[in-house]
Amino acid sequence: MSALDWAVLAATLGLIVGYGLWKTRGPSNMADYVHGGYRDRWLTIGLAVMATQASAITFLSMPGQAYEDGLRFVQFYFGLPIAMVVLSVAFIPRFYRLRVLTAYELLEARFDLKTRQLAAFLFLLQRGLSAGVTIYAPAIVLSKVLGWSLNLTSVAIGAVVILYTVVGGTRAVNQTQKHQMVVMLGGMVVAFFVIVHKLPPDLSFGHAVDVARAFGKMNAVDVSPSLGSRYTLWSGLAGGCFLAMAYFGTDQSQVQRYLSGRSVTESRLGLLFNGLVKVPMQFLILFVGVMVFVFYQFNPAPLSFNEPALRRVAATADAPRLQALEAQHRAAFVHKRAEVQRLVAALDAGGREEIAAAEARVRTAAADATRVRKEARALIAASGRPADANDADYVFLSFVMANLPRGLVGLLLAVILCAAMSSTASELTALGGCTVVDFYRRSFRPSAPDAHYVRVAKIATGAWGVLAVLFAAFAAVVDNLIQAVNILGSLFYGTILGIFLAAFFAPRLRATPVFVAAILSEVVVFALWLGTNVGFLWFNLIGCAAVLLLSSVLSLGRSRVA
Amino acid sequence: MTGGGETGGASDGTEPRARAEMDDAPPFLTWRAIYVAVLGALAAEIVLALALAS
Repeated sequence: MSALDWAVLAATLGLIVGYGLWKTRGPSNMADYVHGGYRDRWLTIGLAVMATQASAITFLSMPGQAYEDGLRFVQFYFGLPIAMVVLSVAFIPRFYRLRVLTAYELLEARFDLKTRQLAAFLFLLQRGLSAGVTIYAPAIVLSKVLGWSLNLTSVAIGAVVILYTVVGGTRAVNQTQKHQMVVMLGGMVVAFFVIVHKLPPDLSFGHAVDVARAFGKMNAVDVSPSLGSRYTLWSGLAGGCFLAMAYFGTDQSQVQRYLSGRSVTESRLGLLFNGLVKVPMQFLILFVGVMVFVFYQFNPAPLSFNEPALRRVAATADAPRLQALEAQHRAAFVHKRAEVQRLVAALDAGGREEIAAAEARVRTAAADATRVRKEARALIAASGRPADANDADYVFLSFVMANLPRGLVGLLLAVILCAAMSSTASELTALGGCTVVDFYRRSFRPSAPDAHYVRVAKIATGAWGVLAVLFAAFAAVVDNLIQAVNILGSLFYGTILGIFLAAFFAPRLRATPVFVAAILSEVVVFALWLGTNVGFLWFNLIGCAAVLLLSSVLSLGRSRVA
Repeated sequence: MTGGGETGGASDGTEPRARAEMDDAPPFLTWRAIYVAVLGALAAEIVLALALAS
């Protein structure tokens, strides 16, 4: 990395961290620490909500996912705008009416303490694990740039984030995220134009899209009704809607973002802004990945984007096999590029049959190149670190480091690190706040001065940060980071959402049937995850429906017994 | 209310939040128009995605 990149990276991070520290002067009570004093306007809330969700994983993993798998991941977000409308109408006014610090407090008002603490426990469990992944993702970046080990890098990033988070409170996080989100969006727009500019000069933008389509990368919508297919229009609308309702409506890391608003109106508008902007933003990030894919149809890509893994294999007895694969990879690329150029020529000529024939030849050439890459992955996996074989999370970073102009590399690294810090900061303050409000203050020490709770919340926040760093050591075993986080969330969110929907819309349901149904529904979801191939987005709907159905059946049984 | 009387700002020693704006109208349009705009934008995005995929 050049001196200019280092300067841009240091200046951007320094300014944002400095601004955050300046804004974090003295949260003196829990309302200040958790909700930032209830002062934020809708644009701040909307951008903070987006920045909390858009972690470093979004910028590292999604372009790589689009590179491998096309645009179909965008369907995951189709249910989100619907969820934002539902939350604005049904959830926000209820949270405001009870003046809750955490979402789970509302459950004690409606049901009982054990139901509240079950939901809070499920949140702590899944969010605590997810925080590990959100620290691990930027560690990939820095370890590549600095040549440090991944674990050491995770510890270094974790330490900075813990310090920043413990010192700060929600208001600082929200205010900082507003600026970070602008930098993130701006950085991706600039990256998009640079990538398009780097495509061959005789390739029009329309033909670049056609080339991507020939490789099946423009598959933004799949209308097949298959439950096993991970991303379809239906799983995106139904499962995605339930996941978004659960994430934004019941996950404290998001609830505390929009409850920091100065009124119901500001909170509602913040969420609806997210609903309006989210799908186009995710589409842009995925489309950047698709354009990186098109770029590598005209320029040689590495055999694996995880280049440290390649270097490691090159130092073993498998080096001759690796060299042979490198040679096959280069030959496959030259052949594929020639076929892609013939496709572009056919597109220029406009004959339908010629285009179809050229597309078929491109697919054959691509299959050959894919076979070589699979063999390389198998070789890397056999070298002792199976997780290194999957290089999807390295695609965008590798492209940025090798192809973007000086200065812009530093800016995009800053974007990724800012995203990591902001989302982790939200997670840790929510984990710390929930631990104190829903467990410590409620069950262990109910009447201490407020300053005591702020101190304990800071300690809890720091402790969760340390745990997240420990979890990060295990994140390398997962194939794709963004999928891992969403699968993890989907295992718990359906149940938590079911409890909240029972609280809001089923006035006859009582606490114990809902509590038992929630535990049973977790068993059902885990059984489906371990024993079937049902797409994970459906777990959100299934978990939620199971809580409502089972609690109704149990209530019926109780009333008959009575 | 929740056990321990511990929800929200009042028990924290802070001023209770002003809740007069609970049913405020939005600063622009109406809530219904805003909801329709958000869902209409989603419908347009799905149509665009279908067109891109075909």
